[in-house]
Amino acid sequence: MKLVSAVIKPFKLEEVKEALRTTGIQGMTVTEVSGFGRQRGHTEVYRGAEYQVDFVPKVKLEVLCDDSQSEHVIETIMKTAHTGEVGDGKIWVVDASQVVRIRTGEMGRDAL
Amino acid sequence: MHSSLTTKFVEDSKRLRKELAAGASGLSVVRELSDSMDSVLLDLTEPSLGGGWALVAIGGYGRRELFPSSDIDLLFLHSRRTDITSAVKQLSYAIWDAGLELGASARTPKDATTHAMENFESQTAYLDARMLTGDHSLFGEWHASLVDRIRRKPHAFFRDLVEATLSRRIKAGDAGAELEPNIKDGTGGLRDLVSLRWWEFVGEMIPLGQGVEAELSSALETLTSIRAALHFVTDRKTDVLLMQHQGPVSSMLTGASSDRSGEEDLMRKLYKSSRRIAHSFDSVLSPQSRARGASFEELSNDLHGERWPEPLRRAFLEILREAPETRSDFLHLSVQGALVSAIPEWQTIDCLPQRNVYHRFAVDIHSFEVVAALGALKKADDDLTRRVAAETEPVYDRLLIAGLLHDIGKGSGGDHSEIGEKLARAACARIELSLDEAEDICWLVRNHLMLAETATRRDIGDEALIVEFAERVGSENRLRMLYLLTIADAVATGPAAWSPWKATLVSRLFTRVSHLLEQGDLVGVAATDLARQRTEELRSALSDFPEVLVESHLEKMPRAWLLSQPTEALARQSVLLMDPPLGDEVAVHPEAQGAAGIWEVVVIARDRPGLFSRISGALALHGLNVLGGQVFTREDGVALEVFRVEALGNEDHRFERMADDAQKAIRGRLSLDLRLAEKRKEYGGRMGKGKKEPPRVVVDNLASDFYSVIEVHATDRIGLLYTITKTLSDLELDVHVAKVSTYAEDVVDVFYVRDLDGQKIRDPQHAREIERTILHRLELEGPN
Repeated sequence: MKLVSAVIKPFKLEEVKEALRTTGIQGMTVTEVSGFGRQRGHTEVYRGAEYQVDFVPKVKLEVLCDDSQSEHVIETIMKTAHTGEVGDGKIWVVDASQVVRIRTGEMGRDAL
Repeated sequence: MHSSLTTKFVEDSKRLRKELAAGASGLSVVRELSDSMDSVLLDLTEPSLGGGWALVAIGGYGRRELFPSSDIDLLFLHSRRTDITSAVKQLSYAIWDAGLELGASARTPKDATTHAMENFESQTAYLDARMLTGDHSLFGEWHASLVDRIRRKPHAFFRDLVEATLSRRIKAGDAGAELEPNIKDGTGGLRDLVSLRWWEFVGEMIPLGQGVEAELSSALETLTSIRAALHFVTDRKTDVLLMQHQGPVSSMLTGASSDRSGEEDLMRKLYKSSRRIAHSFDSVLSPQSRARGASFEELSNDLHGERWPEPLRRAFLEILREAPETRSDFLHLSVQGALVSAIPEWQTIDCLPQRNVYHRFAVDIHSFEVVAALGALKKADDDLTRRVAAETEPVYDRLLIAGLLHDIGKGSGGDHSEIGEKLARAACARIELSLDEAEDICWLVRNHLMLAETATRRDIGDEALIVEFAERVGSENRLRMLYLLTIADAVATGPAAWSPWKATLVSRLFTRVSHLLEQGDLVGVAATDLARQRTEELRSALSDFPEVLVESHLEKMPRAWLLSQPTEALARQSVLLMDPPLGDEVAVHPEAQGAAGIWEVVVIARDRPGLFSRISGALALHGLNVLGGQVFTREDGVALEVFRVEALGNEDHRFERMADDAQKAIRGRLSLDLRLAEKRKEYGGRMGKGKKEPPRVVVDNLASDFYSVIEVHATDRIGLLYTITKTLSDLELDVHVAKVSTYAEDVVDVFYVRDLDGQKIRDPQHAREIERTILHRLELEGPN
């Protein structure tokens, strides 16, 4: 099993969520996060005065899926979250050695 | 062995559950439950009863109010000599068998009194003590002396009562406002009412008036039946009415199947009752005068016509402006019914519950909170917010009114912003606000979610979005009010609604839109109309072309283009764009302008890096002095460049030759550097006689939100625009607009640029590099 994590632009969330749902992904965890990559922070200017914003608001998605699904999940996120501009975000994948559904105690793929 | 005894209680409880569901009074149910428990305990203790001890019910049970899942609170009062171990054991097991919790302690009268004087909770529980069975004189003497002792120092009791109330309310929240109220311990909960009675018992009778007393009895009944139903429904000792239980509780009490309106009615009743209780108890806790509220109340009672007299409006504004007290002032008016009689439109949201866990408070309380939050924004920690609030000062009153009314459309079904706008209009007329004030207020009510929704759901890096938003807002003043209302609304909604995350998005959108409005040249409500009007005009001007082609063209052109030139020019360019050149072909279309020697040159080609600089180089080569240039890129990659040029001297076929050279330059078959250097040499003697200022380059990131603006101050020369734009292109910068101004021999060229990622030049080192490179190139080519 894989844990696919992605940091994307906030306004892309709905689109990505819908796209993932149509590919059969049942659940995901969504977190409001802030950070910076190449986009770095920025300065907002209001009537001549500058207001420094160190971190850029993003949304982090986490999807647990079967090994066979992970490529598809990555591709779906990549396609839908893409704008071509700086700050589109990143996707990374790690192995999930165990998954347990707390309510039923189901484990592994059954718990996905 | 005790099961038969406790079964009686369990059965009574089942029966009473049915009776409550059949419409019995909640108070009678808890009394009967208490009586049933009494008889169970009496049966259990009779056999072992000796002298020297007493079985005492305390707390709610002592008051003969036992809720279905409440603890059975008991005190075993005994003299030092009496051993009560076996009696205590017997009772405890029996109560546990019945599945109930026992809260019991065994104390001698002296212990009990000492304990009560040290522990306020026990003190009040003992005030309600009621002996079930046992030694009458032991209990009677102890209780009388305890009461006497407490009554001798009413001030100490009052101080402890206030302290306990405040900390309890902080923990349990507000039963008259919260989505999931604590019916027992919350502000306005049952405990508040009991506390009021304690104070009357210990200190003084408080004349509340007959009307209020009647309301309090009915409030007690309401809360009691809801709490009893909640215990029955959940089968647990729980006093917080969670959203998931509001349906079952409502259907138990009404007998109707649970639906939304049933839950809403339940919550309204609960809120109304709790607020009445809290209001009465608060008037005892802090009996200071309510000057502001009082004058509004009085004046609203005298309100005969529809319209507000001046003093009422003044009293209203005074309440609105007193930020921290606003909530309690309005709450007072709401409990007294003054708010609804002054603003009948308020009726629908009076005590209206929210149906969304995102919220924390009932709709009306949330509205009061928003007004209070708006007041607090003037002292916000955040510099930007504080500054915006200060700038909004002259119109703050209307912002506060908009804050009060922003959700007034809730509970009517349908879009609450839309309905709210209508209701707000009626309210504004009633308050007799000026047309200008009313317009702003209605606009804010209608659009109060716009900023938050756009910031979190749309791409705020998209210029078209910002322009559209700016046009919808129309003025900086409204934008500032909307920004403040957005923050106050979120802050008042609940902790989840206003995070630094959201704050960043909202302020980002705000600053961008503000900037656009401040510049004022791109937008205004007129701009939308203008764009729409031009689109229409273009449609009819292009009616000879297939509709599909025209629509796709209009859709793909940037909005800025529609606003940049008169319709005739746009139509001419559109015709050319219908059939754009392919590959590296360049199409050049000159058009003579009114003034002699002034031309507009339209260039169309596939977009490519360096296109703009090569065209300007070719223009310079043929004596066409550029006065200004704009670049528009259609979404399908076709570039449209519009130059305004001044033709120097007379040359035949100059445009054909210029086009030819531009084409060659793009194909790499003509060096503009070389040709322009030669031309400069040729003309060298004729230009630039005056004293030369050294060139200057400024990179300005403040002027535009989407572009870095590069200003180049230099002495005019042949091919100056080419040199600069080529440098920009070498540095991988995209030129969006070039403006050229000539002051005698001095030229100020202004370029709106972005990097290839579409970003501004934020890195100061990068900006410095650009400045130095341009200066270097200008220097290389010498003063001419």
